[in-house]
Amino acid sequence: MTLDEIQQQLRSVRVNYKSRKAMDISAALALLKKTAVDAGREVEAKELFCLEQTFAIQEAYLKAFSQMKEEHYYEGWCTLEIAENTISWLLPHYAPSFEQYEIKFIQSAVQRLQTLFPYKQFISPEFLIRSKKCSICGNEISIRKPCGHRVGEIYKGEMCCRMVSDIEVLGTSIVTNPSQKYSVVFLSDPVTKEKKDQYNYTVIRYLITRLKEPFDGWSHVVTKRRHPHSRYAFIGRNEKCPCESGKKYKKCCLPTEGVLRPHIQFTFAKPPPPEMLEIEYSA
Amino acid sequence: MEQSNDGIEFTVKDTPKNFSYWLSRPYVSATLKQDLDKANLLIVPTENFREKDGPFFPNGTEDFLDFLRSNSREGLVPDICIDDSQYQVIALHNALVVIGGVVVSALLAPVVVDLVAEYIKRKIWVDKEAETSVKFSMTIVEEDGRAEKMSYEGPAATFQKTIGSRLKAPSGRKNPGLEKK
Repeated sequence: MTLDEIQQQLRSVRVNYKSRKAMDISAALALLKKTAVDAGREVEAKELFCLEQTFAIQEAYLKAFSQMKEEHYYEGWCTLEIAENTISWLLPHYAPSFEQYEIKFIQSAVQRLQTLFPYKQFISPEFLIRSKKCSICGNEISIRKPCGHRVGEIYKGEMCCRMVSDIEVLGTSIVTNPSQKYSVVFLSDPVTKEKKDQYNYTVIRYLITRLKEPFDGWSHVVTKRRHPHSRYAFIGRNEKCPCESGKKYKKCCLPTEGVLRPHIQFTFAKPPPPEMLEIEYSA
Repeated sequence: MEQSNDGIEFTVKDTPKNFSYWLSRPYVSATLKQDLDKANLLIVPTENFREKDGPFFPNGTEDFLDFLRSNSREGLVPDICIDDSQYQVIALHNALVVIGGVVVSALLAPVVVDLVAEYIKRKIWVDKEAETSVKFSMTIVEEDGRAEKMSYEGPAATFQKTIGSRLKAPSGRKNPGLEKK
């Protein structure tokens, strides 16, 4: 497969994502990059690295979409994070070409999808790092005499990163803004100790079941709407208001026409299947 | 002075920790001190974290120092208050951009704020500026050695405006850092 053919495959992802041969594209890119690296063609090797990442982002997004379609939401969440991270590595090097390979669409879709997941708390480890090495030259990192390779820059077709060689785990925290989004807090079954998924995926399910193809356009607006008190009949007047204001129900939403709750309105570029139009979301 | 609006924590306090303080710390060797004497912008460590004694720097400090050195303005001499053998990093894995605390001579403080703001922009996605938080502290040392520490924790988008608005006009002041050279 030539470079032109690969680029064409990547440009046509909207239509060919089911039929293209991912293994062939991956192998062809690796071979072209090796040839460029061996010949010392740094610029070409960097471009090929960027194409590899472009391909990886497309594949991650497609996989995440498929996982969410199959209702494997946590797996989909983790794969979306892979797409997000890979985009952030690619962004400083390849921004002008984002549109032709749908990276801009994917970047926007990933960010919006992540906001629709119910995960709000995450485990965050704290580390003490005593030494690390450069992934390009293998030298120990010296703060006063740096090796010259910059993290995130591309050398010989690979991105420079740091490899930690001496580390101590100091503890863990529960945070709301993790750098590793996969560290979602799950409950476990008290008897079997197996993971128990306690989350409500209604919103993300609502969206994904109405999207036929991964590149179908959609947008959403988050507002608040008053929901009928009949839905909250099980909550006592002196209990906390279901709007989560922290006030008593009787002193908050009860005297009003309904309980003020988040309301998400979706707009679809392509009409969802007719059978889906009748179902109303309620949380 | 303390502000807490829109998720911004911003404090300004007098501090005894000026250049002389940092250059006399036990982890600054005599040889290192000679190098640091030339600096007018010092990245300084946290001296303890939870029950552990330091010195410690936040993850990414090599990158920050490299940025300061590569983008240094005229007259600005950045350095870090540690020897290689004692350099160690605390990595807190939440999505907060923690930048090493710096000590800077008063005249250069506005330049440093601009540089740090530029560094933050490079660290985060442009469209994530509103949702990314930044933690940064800057000790500003006057000509007579008096020092004031500004600490900021809040959205990346409001960093420059918040700290910049608090900086005093530099006119009529000498720069103790530059004088040292």
